[in-house]
Amino acid sequence: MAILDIENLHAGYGQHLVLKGVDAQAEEGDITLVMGPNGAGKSTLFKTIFGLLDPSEGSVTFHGEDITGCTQEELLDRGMAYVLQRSALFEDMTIRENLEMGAYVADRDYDVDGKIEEIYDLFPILEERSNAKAGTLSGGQRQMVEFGRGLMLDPEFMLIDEPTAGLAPKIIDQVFERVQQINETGVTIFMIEQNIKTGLEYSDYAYVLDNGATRFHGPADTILDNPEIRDAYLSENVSYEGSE
Amino acid sequence: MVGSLPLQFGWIEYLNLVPQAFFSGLLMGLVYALVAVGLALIWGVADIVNFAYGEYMLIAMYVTLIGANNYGIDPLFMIPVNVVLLFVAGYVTYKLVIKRVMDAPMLSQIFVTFGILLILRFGMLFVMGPDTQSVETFMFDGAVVIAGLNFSLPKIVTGVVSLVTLVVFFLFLNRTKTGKGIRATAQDPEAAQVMGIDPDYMNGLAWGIGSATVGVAGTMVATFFSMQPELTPTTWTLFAFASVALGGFGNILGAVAGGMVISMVEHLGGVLLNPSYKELYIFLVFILVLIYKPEGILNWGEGE
Repeated sequence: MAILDIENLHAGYGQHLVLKGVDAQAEEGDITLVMGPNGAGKSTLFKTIFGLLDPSEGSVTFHGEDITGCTQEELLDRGMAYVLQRSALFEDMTIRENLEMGAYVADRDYDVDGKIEEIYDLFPILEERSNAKAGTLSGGQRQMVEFGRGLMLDPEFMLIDEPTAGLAPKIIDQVFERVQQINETGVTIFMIEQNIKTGLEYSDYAYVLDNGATRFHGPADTILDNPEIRDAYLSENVSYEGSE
Repeated sequence: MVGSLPLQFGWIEYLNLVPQAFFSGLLMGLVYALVAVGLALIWGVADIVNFAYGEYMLIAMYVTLIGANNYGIDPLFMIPVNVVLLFVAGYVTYKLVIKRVMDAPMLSQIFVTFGILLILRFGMLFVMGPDTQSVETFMFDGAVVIAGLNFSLPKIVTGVVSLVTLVVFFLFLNRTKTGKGIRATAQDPEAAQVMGIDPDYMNGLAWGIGSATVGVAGTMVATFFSMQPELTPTTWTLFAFASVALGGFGNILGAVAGGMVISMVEHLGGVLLNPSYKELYIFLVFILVLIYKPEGILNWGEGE
């Protein structure tokens, strides 16, 4: 059953409508990929799901309940987490403090330290550098802290916006392996990615957005069989991948 | 080198005056630092410049004056009153006014805080009158001699109170969950929001706490500075701006260093050169920093 259901979603900035009718679903336990050209509305879609933008039309339901209008705290309480695209760590805080911030809205009796230990088990390098300021980390380490911070409240559903953006090609596979690792602990993943070919290898299902609407969707291993998608997005993204 | 300057005293007097000015500068530096961190906090978190900052400080000074001169309440007891009063004033200012221009162009934000400045300044001029007034009683009056140096007791008490307030301020920001939430919002508002931290609440808190710091500072400096509705706030706003610019805009730790430097320049410049131009030295340093190191004398990584 679909854990997340987006229907006819319209949203934008002021008068400027970016999403003009997005339909998408995320199946429980899946890694669902959202792809599309720059400006297609992928990040806007994620911001609208997470309540950072108000939709002007349409709905987002999570576990069958309408979540439009929910605050971020309410969404986190419901088991959602959001890893932003750009590097969004708190630069002058340590790795540990950054992780703590991930549990900011947790109840008083929540075992924050225990959860941090779990994150360290998942990404051991973070424990070694526990007291390092986030500003001193490499791109790959920053991404681990981002993931760890998103996992602090034990989410069952995670929005991940372009986890490989700006990373060296040789560590892109590692990032996807981490996403898969997180997914294997039972977290449903809804992920934007520009490295389409590699991204699809790790995904179960994929959506293609174009100009603010869902253009195609299908199982990840068949979506590139569609010649239209291959021509429109893949050729363009092969060179794009190399330049990243 | 000093010999070529217009000396006001002989060499022997200088030997006494320099350490005197140094320690006075240190004491006053603590209160300048306190004034500066409040402005830096508002600037860093809400990303808005409060031009009416000196007016908020003057409110605390006048409340202290009225308490002391009209009701016989010692200024020291006015600290909690002014902390609460200024916190509420800052918080309400954010909720009623600033919140509406958070996404507006910078020019609109400047005009809004300038409007608040005009209302407060001329409101106080109307209520308190244009004359210069001073607090008449303070339980710590007079001067003490420490190691041959003369210190006014009110300034010592002000330095100590400022230091304690700064320590509490930094413990709050670095050790408490809410304090960390404020820092997180300052560093990356969107990322903080994604963690469930309500940016609107944090902005309001920053305005409240930033204003409460001048609640403490205003109470204390009222014990030895006279006040006037037009001159006093202008002076303190400019001191605060110079300190914050020196420390790197919006950088809270830098603001402490900035306040210290400003105070040292003022006090040592006043002794070594000519005391009439004390403020000129401050602005000379300020302008030089803006020209040659606009990111601030300290780069602690957080400033923007």
